[in-house]
Amino acid sequence: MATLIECKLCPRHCRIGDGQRGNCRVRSNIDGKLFTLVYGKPCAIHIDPIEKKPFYHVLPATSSFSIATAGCNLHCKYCQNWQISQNPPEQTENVDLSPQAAVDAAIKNRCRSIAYTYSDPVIFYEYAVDISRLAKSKGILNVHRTAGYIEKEPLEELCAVTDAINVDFKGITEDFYRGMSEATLAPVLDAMKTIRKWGVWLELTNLVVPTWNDREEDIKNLCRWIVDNLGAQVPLHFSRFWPMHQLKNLPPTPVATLERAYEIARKEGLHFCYIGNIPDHSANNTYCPNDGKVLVRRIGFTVLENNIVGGKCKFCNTAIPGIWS
Amino acid sequence: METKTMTRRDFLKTTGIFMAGLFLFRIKDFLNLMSAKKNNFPPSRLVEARHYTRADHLAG
Repeated sequence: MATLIECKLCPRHCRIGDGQRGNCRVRSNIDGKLFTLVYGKPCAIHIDPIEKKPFYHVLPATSSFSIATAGCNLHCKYCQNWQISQNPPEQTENVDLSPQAAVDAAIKNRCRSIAYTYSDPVIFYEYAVDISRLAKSKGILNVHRTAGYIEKEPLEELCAVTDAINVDFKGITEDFYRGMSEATLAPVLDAMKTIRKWGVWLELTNLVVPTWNDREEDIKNLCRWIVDNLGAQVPLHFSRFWPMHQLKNLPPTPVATLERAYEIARKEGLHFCYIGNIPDHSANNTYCPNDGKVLVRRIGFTVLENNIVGGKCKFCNTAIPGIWS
Repeated sequence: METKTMTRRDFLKTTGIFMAGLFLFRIKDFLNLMSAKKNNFPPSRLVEARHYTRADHLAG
């Protein structure tokens, strides 16, 4: 007799009939059991600077072994990686890479961390957790780039083996999440609070999309929420939108818009703000919140100068939050 | 906007930097990894997911 299954990994709570898959395209009900179809089957493997994730407060100038599988539980109109996130694994080129092989490859290539990224690691949850446990035992950090659309119980299990998470804090309204990503905002807010509660290092990214989430009031509200609920020390990266996927009709985000967002964030009290996708901008650098000196100077993803010693500003000895060793 | 014509020297310089980058990042190892173990779908062994329940008892 066919058994209906309810997946409880993400807030969609897909009810999946026999032989069918969840919204993410990679979890399937087979004879009454739910299986992940992408375990050990990444379709993207790269070595990237950790700054690309982006993590600016985690092991600067180190390499991160980055992997992803097909699928995603969001459907963002602007997705840069839609070829893998919006396709099932039948339509991606997949490689066999067991959790042990992933960790071995990271070690062999002198990567200090493994990054679960590109699509969304929520949908290859079991694979990511198993790699993370092995990596942790070898002293390799586990870092995630995610939309944070995940239920609390699996998130807490994940936090136990994860060192840093960058959440795409896409917007501050339910309308935005519904219209842009076919998702909801509230679970993402809860996820960010859970991550902070667990002490996992958190950085946030906000992709500023012209006409969608670039109003000054929205940016102010987003920054205010961060300060009130997560703390002023959580780094926030404003990222420049480029016409992509289903939003090729829009222009790239004007630099002036990003600079204004940066000013608003600083005014709201956030200590560490950045502008991404503009390689030579001064807002790529990390500044000491106490004396204003340049702590980490970057161009693009390359670190040119690092003045953080023992986790502190070398000029005034102020402790700088992050994972520096 | 004025466009700049790439000279032969620029082209060789860019190519040289690119080749040096490939060597430094050992792309060859990854190409070997990708080609030697490339496998299509479906996987030979399925792994059971976590965080799910049976839903037969739910109405609707």
